[in-house]
Amino acid sequence: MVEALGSVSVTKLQKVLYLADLEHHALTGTTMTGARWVRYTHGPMAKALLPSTQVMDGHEIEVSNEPVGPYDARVYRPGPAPRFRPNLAPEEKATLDRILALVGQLTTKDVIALAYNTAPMRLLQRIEGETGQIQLDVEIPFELDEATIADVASPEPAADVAAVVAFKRRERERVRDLQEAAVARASR
Amino acid sequence: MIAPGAVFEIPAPLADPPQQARNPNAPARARRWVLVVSNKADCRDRFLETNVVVLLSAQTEYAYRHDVLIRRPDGGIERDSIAQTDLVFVVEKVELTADRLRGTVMADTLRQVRAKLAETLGISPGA
Repeated sequence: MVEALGSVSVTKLQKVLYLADLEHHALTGTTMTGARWVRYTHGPMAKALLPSTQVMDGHEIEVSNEPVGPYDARVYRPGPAPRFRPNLAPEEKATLDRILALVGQLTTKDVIALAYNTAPMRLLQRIEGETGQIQLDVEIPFELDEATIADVASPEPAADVAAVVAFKRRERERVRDLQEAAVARASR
Repeated sequence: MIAPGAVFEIPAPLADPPQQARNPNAPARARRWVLVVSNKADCRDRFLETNVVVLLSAQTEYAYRHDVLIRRPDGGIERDSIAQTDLVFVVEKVELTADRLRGTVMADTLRQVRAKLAETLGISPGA
C-alpha cells in the first residue's frame, strides 16, 4: 500500500486501511487485516499497525518524522530492502485497488472526512452527540443491522423545515421532468 | 457498466423537452446525477429495461431525514451530495451509458442508502 501511495502519513494510511477493511467486510463479511479498529483522536485506528510498521522499518518501508501542515507526523515511504511481498487474494487486491484509486490523491483531511462518513463512525458520532463524551478507544462496530444504519445515515437537518419543503418541491419537479422526458423519448 | 451503487450523470438536454413543451420560457435544466439502487440481478437482466435510482443533489444544506450524505469523491461525485431516498424513480438502461458513468460508491455508502430507502419504504424492521 505504501508502495502505491509513494509517501503517506500514518494518519492517512490508517484511514485508507480502515476504508479498505470496511469495504471488504461489506462485500465478504470479513476484514482483510483482521485488526481491531478503535475510535481515536482523528478517527479510526488499528493499534496493531504500529508494531508491525516498526518491524518493517528499514526493509519494506522507511519511517521518518516530517512536518505535515502545522504538525510533525510520522511518514511512511517504500523501503530499500523488502524481504517479502504481500500475498493478497484476488478479491482483496481488487478491494485495495478500488480504495486506493478512490483516496490515493486525496489530502489526509479529505480521507478523514470519508472515514467519518461511514456507518460505524456515524454511529459512534451519534453516541458522542447524545452522551457529550468522545468514544476514545471504543471499538468501531462493523456488524450493524439495517435499522441502526438507517437511523444514523442522515445528517442533522441544518435548514428550517419550510426551506426543505421548498427544496423538495423543486426536486420533485426535476424528477417529473426527467421521467416525462424519458417517456417522450421512449414513445418516439 | 450498470451495477448497484453506480453513479450516472444525466445530461441537461434529457430533462428539458416536455417541460419546455408546456412552457416555452422555462429555464434550462442543469445536469442531474443519480445513484443506482437496483439489485445486481436486475442490473444485469437484459430483459429488464429499467433500473431503480435515487436522485442526488449537491445542495446538502437542505438534507432532511430521508437523505444520506455522500462525501466527494465517493462514486465519482464532484461535490459532497445527498442521496434522496424520498425521490426514487426508474431510468431506462439505454440511458445509463458508459460515457455517463461517473463511478461507483463504496459498499458502505450503498448500504447506508439502501438502509435508508428500506426505512423510507417501511420495509425495514420496526418501520
